This record gives sequence, C-alpha cells and structure tokens, in this order.
Amino acid sequence: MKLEMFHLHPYRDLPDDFDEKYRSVWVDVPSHLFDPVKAHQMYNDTLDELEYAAALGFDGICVNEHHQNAYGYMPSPNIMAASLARRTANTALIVMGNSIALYNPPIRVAEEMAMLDCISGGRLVAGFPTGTSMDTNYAYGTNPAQLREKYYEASDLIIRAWTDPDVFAWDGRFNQLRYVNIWPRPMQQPHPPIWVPGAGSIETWEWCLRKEFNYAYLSYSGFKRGKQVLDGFWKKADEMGIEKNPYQAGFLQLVMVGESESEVEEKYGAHAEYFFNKMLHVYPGFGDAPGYRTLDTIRAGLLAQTGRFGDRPPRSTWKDLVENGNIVAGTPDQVVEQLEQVSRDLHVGHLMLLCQIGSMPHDLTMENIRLTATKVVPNLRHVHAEWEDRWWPSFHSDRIEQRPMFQPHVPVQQAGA
Amino acid sequence: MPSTQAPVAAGRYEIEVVEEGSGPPVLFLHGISGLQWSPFLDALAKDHRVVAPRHPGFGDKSQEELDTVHDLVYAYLDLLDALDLRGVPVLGHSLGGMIAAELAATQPERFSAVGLFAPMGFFHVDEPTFDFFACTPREMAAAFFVDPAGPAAQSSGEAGLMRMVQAGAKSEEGSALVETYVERAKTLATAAKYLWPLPNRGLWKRIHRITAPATVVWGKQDRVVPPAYAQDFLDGIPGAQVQWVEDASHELLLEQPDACLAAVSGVLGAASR
Repeated sequence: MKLEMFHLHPYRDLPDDFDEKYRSVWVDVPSHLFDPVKAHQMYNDTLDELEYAAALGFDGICVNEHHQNAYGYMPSPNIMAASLARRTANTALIVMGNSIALYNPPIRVAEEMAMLDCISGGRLVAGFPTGTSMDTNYAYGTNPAQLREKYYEASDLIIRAWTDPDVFAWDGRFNQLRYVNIWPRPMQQPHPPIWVPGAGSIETWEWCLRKEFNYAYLSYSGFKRGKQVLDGFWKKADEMGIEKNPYQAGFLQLVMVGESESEVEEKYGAHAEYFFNKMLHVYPGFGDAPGYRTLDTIRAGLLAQTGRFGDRPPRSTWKDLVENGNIVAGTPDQVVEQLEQVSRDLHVGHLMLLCQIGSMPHDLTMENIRLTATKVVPNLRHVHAEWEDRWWPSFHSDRIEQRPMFQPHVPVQQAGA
Repeated sequence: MPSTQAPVAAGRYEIEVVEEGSGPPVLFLHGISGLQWSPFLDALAKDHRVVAPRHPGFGDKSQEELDTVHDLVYAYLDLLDALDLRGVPVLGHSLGGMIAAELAATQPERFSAVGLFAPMGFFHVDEPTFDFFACTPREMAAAFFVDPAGPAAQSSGEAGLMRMVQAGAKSEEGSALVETYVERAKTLATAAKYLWPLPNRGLWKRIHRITAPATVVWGKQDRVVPPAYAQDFLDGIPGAQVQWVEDASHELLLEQPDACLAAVSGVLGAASR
C-alpha cells in the first residue's frame, strides 16, 4: 500500500476560550485572531514538514484547499505544491484541492495542474473536490443548487482540455469558450490520476467508480465511521460490476506516534483536543447550505443521525478520541497494527496520514513524522501488494533528467573591482 | 388540496398547481417557506379562484434548465398561457413577491393588480436581509415569527422542524418528520437559485415597468426583510401604496391573515372593476 502525509496547515495559536467566545472557526472567524508574523512561521514550518516527510520516504505528500478559516488556511494549494515540486524529487505531489467548480473558467485549473505536472516531472495527483459548503457556498458564494452540476461540467472540461490535441469550442451550461487549447499540457498521459476527496455524499461513489477516479474519504470521525462509508463505496462497486481494487480508495487518518503509550498522551493529548474542539468548531448554520446535498444524501444522513439533531457534539477528550478511533495513537508497533487493520477492514490502498494535528508545534510534528516515516511506513508497504495501483502518478524518470537541487553561486564582489 | 400538473417550457417539465375556490381568478406565488395552504388562502378562496403554483426547480427535470430568475419568469408566463390567464391579479409573498414583481415588469399588460407581501428582490449592504440560508431552525423560527412559540408558528413547517430537532431524527417522532425536513431542504434549495447568496437579481432595473395598481404589505416587525425595504417598491412602482400590518414578522400571512387580506382588498377590488 501507499502512505502519504497530509497537511491541513491549521492556525496553531487560537485562544484557549476560542470555542466559547466565537461561533465559528470557518466563514466568519474573526480576523483579529490572525497574526501574519505567526503565519509566516507556520507556512514555512508546514513546507519544512512536508519536505521532511518526502525525504524520509513517505510515498506522497498532500495539500488541499479551504477558504476563510483557521482550520486549514491553505486557500491555494497550488502555491504550496509549486514550492514542494522544487524541493522534493521522488515523491507524489497529491493536490487534494482544487475545488474545480469555483474557478471560472475551470481551464485555469487544467493549466496550473499541467504546470505542476511539468515542473515536478509527472508526479502530480490531481484532486477534484466538490468542496465543503463552508468553502464553496458561504465563502465563495457559489449557488448550492448548481454546485454539483458546475462541478461535473468543470471535471469534463478539464479532462477534455488535458487530452484533446485539437483546439475545441465548449458550449456548456456554466462555461462558454470559443477556443480551448491549453499550454502547457500535462506530462502524464493521458492525464494525471484523479482523486476525489469525499465527505460521504452517496452520489460521489457512483461518479468515481464510473469515471475511474480514486475516492478518498476524508473525515475525522475515525475508522469506525470510515468503515460504514467505504462499505457503501464497495457495495456500489459490486452493484456496478467493478473490480474492488483497494487502490481506487483512500482514507485519512490522524496518527500520533511515541515511544510509549503514556508518552503519547502526555505529548499529543492537548493538541488532539485542540483540533477536535477548536478546528471543528463550525457554526451549524454554515454546515450544509440548502441544495448542497442531494435529497437522497440528506435523507440517508438524517436517518443515520444519532442524538439530537443540530446540536453541537460535546467536547472531546483524548480518551474519547482514542476509544472512538478518531485517532490512531501509540508506539510504532501499535500504530502499525492498527493501520494495517484499518487498511484491510476498509479495503483501502492509500492511507493519508495527518501527522500535524491542531496546535502541534513544529518540533513535535517533525518527531511524529520521523517516527511514522521510519518505524511505521516501511512495515505497511506489503499490505495489498498483490494489486496494481492504477491511481498513481507515472513519475517520468525515464524521460527527464534527474538534476541535483540548484544551488545559486553568487560571485563575491571584489573590492575596487 | 387538489393539485394538477401543468406543462411548461414546450412540455419539457411541469409545474404543480393547487387550485381552490371560485370567482375571478387570482395568481398566488408562495414564499421561501414553501406552498402551504393556510387560513389566508382559505379566506381568499371564498370569493376567488385561487391559482397557487409550487415553484419548480429542485430535484426534477426543471433543475436542468432553471438557472436564473428570468428562466423562472418565462416558465410562469408559459403557465399563464397554459391556464389561459390574462388580466389577472397576482399576489406574492417573500420570494413569491419578488417573482410577482419580475413577472409584472416583464409583461405589465398581463396583470390587473399586484399585491406584494414582504417581497424580496432588493439588498442593502448597510441594512442586510436576514441570512436564512445560514441559520439553525431555532434561529429561523425566531426571525420569521414575532412569537416563535405562538399558534401561527406552530401551524407552520418550522414547527415540524423544531419538533424534529427536539426529538432527534432517530426517535419515532423524529423519523416521521424527516420528510418534513427533506421538503424544507427542497424548498430552500429552490429559493437559493434566485436568492443566493443575496436576493438582488437586478429587479431595480425593471421594476418601473409595472403598470397595474400595486400594494405592498409589510409586517411592522419583519426581521427577515426589514420594513425599510418597502421604500424600494414605493419608489420603483409608479403609484404603489404601502399597508403596514401590526404584530407580524416575515410570515405575516400566517400571523395576521385577516389584516393581510384587508390590505389587498382595495387593489383586488380595483382589478375586478
């Protein structure tokens, strides 16, 4: 199997009373809590952390797109990926955004991703999320009643722009273009693998299976909820008569590794609680714009709901999070055992591991990355080895010249010269 | 209430129409809470043939082609053709008021009177409308009704939602209400086509074309579209009058049905003369 490090790039320094004092971490989170000097540090920490993960042998590194929030303030993942493309060599660059319905015209996404594919030498995974309601409807103003149809049109247009060798005209419902003819074209042929991050919309399963996209279930509910969702995905594959190749599915898991169980709780506990109690503190009114979900998904979701509808979940403690499977935490051996079970139970070939969580400081994140990359990742590669991964970049190492990283030499100015 | 399906858009999809009463016809366009038969419509149907369509636009074929308020206006002109309604008074509430104004601006000669109850269609950044697309059911009820615990609110779809929230979707009572919630999601999603992210679709550029006698009716305590918005309609529609309704918020038709009917009796009477 493949293991990738995922980074949300959260704001690590919200006040302790944030979730009591403010209604939402997303959409209308107060701007006075943002400090650009701290952000300078955090952006560079995030890039260092992803580069370190790549250097230590993670198969891929993942960035993604969110807007107007402190939960993950990486509105342009392409900017991060461009920097990472220059500073890494043999690692997949998994760009889990762009929210393709938001860009007008969507060929901008086709162009930027083709740039990333050329710069990186065929290492790009193209993520096509629908995007959360907070991002797409409330922050970017897209009409929820049209979001999904806009998304489908954008996906078709981008793939056509990557693959059609001729200039073509596009007369869509949302996009009219007389001449489509992007430069550059992607290095990977016919186009980079497409992964669709999903949050459990049932329509997305069929879409991914039909289009041969990878379906990546991104949630923080842990592998117990993940099992329900992936079971639904694979059941749909059965119904459609499609082979259940585990590499067509991915799953995100929060991972915290330490030398002993007690050390893990001591080091990571507060940061995990910060993540679940502050980063997921979204005002319920922003959760689900009318029309964002289809009626079938709404009905299925309501019927699956436990507890009082519309209430915020109670505050989480470390103990709850570990017991409920929201977090996989422990010694390297314990983590290997649990992740192997997750990948087999959910039948997923791609595990995206979130190694920086909530307020975790840089040093601790680097330690978590080091332990995960050196003591966990190598012991999981054998899982699903019998399957072929058709959703992985082609790494055109045969076609490109591997160059040492560029080091500029600036001539020293001679005195009097 | 008996309803029929009327073909529009050259037969590509249909609009559901509820009809009740006899007498001169009147077109009624519902608001964002959906089409709900109410004491107001009962009273109106005593001496009118009430023609009340349900706005098309979510989860059926109409979704594939209704994108703008103009698409909807043409769909309703098709409907009026299909029902052979000409020189008819139009009443509209909330979103329906906005559509009524758009219709009367598009084909002014087609309408004999215009009655708008707390119509949408304008937006002022310094006094914004309530964002009913971003609120909890509790907050919604508190904005739409002067008394969210009162009988008007209890008779509305909101009350069903509130009961579901209280009971939880898993409980027997809650699961019975899931369809209420799904219906609400459908209505709001349709409304979003014309009101997202805010309700200005350029009505101000066209509203002057309305020629029929017009009355604008507003709840004095409207917390969704503030009463100050009445001025946009008074300034925009030549000769328009305003009627204020006491003890009413945005659901004025449910809260004060008698006062609402009295408020438009003048304009309806003028239409039938």
